[in-house]
Amino acid sequence: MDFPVSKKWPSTPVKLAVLAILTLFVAFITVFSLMNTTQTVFTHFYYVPIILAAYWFDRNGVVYAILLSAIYLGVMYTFSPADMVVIAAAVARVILFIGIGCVIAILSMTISREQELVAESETRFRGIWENIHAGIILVDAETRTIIAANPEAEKLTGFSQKEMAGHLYHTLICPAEQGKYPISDLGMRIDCAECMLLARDGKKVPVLKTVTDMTIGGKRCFIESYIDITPIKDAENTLIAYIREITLRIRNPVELVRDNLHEIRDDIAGQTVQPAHIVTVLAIQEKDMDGILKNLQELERAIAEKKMEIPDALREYMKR
Amino acid sequence: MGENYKRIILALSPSRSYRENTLQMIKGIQKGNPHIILICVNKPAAFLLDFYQRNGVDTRRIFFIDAITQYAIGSAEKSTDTCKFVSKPNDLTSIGIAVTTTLKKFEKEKTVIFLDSVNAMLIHSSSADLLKFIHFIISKLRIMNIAGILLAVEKGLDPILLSQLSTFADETVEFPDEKAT
Repeated sequence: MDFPVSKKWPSTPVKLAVLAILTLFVAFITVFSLMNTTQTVFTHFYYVPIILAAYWFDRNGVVYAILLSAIYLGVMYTFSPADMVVIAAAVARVILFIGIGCVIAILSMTISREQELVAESETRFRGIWENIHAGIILVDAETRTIIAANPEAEKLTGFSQKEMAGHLYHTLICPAEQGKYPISDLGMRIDCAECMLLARDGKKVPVLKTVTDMTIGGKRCFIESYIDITPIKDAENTLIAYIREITLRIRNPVELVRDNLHEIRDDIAGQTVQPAHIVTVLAIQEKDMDGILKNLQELERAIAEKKMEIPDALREYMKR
Repeated sequence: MGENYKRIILALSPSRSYRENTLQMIKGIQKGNPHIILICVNKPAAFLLDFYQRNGVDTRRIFFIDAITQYAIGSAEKSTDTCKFVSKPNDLTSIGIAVTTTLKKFEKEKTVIFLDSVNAMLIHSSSADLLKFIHFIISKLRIMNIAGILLAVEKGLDPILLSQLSTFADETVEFPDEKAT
């Protein structure tokens, strides 16, 4: 059975007012009961203000319990000064009142400290969630629906968290087919895998993706994190284009010069071509080699400046 | 060439039979009796003229735009009735002007432009500049309703450049590598 619990307590003046009313009530009921020679039931009413004071005001609450106990003891002594049994029972109650006040104050201080730690932790993790330079998307492992997305994920995909929440992960931002979810369906582990993220405008954003499996509130979830590698990809593509261009202007021309020299050798052997023409053709090959050398120097400079590895696909092409 | 007249063709030849294939193409084109404007970047005009004459080509109907001789020998050759010299193979503007003026010269005659070769041009010009130049030449040919042949060594061009050149051309012709078989 659930009870409605207020998440917010009233402000300090209201608390003080409540305590003042309860104190007056307790004092009144004490005097009233003693005047009617009743000495047992009314003492239970002391617990309420003592517990509230200790819970609300910690150490000051204990001071309040001591003061209220002193009042109680004073009133008891006034009404029964010679009855040592009554006085002894009253002293025992006073000890109980102060003891309860101390216990509640300690518990209250412990709860406050825990709440502070939780709040601090939440602030810290919210700060990370909102400011980390990686998109994070929380996916329900069972239904494959998106539970939450951080602002960077919103920026990467172009969808707001509200738009993403509740939608199937595959249909919205992941190009993988449904039923082929790598980490669960295919039993794969994803750690910094290079893949594509679908953006709202239909563009594919190259990302480094990591998926971890965890349980939140008894529910299995996947935490997907994405790092945008568009600038790296752009630089890589630029380098590929550059190397492709240089390959065109080094490897292929070398083959051309080789074939030309082969033809010149045949022409010289066959003595069919005038020597002046041979000289000109050889001079052209020399100039062509100059051009190739210049292109090679450009490639060296490009490699020195970029310092990036030649991708495998291009390496294969260059081996052709 | 007959049916291919007024079309732009990208001709790809194996490197080992490149010279023979060029010769066959020139002979084939001459069956239609057009004027051939040959842009030479790989071999000098004088050498080609001598080679074609020795191999039975009617060189009276060939006009050379030679972009390599001056650059190679360092001295300025004077242009003749059958040959126009351009100072450098990477001076694509001058080659373009030479092509335009030569086309005007043969305005009323059946003409075919022959570019020898795309590979040789790549030694001296970037692929972007070369594509712009080829696009310029092809646009001019299409406006003037003239045929053109872009000659290249097969496997000498990378797939991306080849696909770009193929989009400019109406047809791509590949010569078989007979010596390899």
